[in-house]
Amino acid sequence: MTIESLPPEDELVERLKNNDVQLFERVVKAYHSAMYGVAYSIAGQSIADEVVQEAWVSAINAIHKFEGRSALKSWLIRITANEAKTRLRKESRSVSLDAVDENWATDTRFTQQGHWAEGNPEWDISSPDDLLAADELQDCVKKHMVKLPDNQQQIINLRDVGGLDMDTICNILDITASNARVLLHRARDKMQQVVARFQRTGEC
Amino acid sequence: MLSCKHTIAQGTDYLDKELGFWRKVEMKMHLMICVNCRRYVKQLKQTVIMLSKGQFKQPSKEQIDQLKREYKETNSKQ
Repeated sequence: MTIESLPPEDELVERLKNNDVQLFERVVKAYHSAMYGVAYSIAGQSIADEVVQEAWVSAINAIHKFEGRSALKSWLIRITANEAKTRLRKESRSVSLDAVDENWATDTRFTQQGHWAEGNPEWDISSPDDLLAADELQDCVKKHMVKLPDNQQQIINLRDVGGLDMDTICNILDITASNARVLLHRARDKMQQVVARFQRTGEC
Repeated sequence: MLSCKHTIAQGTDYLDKELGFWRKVEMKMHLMICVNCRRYVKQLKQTVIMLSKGQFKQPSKEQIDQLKREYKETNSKQ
């Protein structure tokens, strides 16, 4: 079920307020994944499912008060982030070895002069739809998303997976805009490298 | 002239239209002459779109059923 298959936002919210169970199920299927990503990155794997479940329950109870000032998805993501933040992180994840690659000075993609060491080849699979259809690649992306350092994982989930604007994200994570932009770029750059390596070698 | 390394470091700000005027001009000039960085910016954009549409964790049938029950019960009370 894709987000595109949902009705327009106004109709969507109206029908959800009017007990449309079938539509509710489609909304759950469309947005659960993004909510899970946010919950996982903030609260940790062990309670992510619980956080998302609680976020849905909060949303169900509040949907009649939802005035549509933001998109439904953004509203759900904010509820999830707040729910996750109120819970103590119970699981400490191991430090990602891949994070070491991020060091600006030792980025092996570039020469000391800052030129590409071996160029940057075109991707065989290039359109976003084709990227999404490649199951092995999606598994690879998923695997590496959770290896990102916590703060990068939080921001890429809130921004790119969850679709929140940067001001809202800075408020949720209590970080400055410039810090947020640096973290977001590091996370996106890492994911670009994951896809690039997969395209080049077929390996994750 | 910006180096490739500095150019790609601005990739996110460029895509999100957060670069100031001169930094944007500088970046565009570099992209005009550098195929590798042009590809990088295109690939970064494709990666972001892929992430926005990706479904990385689908809910289980039990989770959906439980939420549907919760939804029905809450709505019947209101």
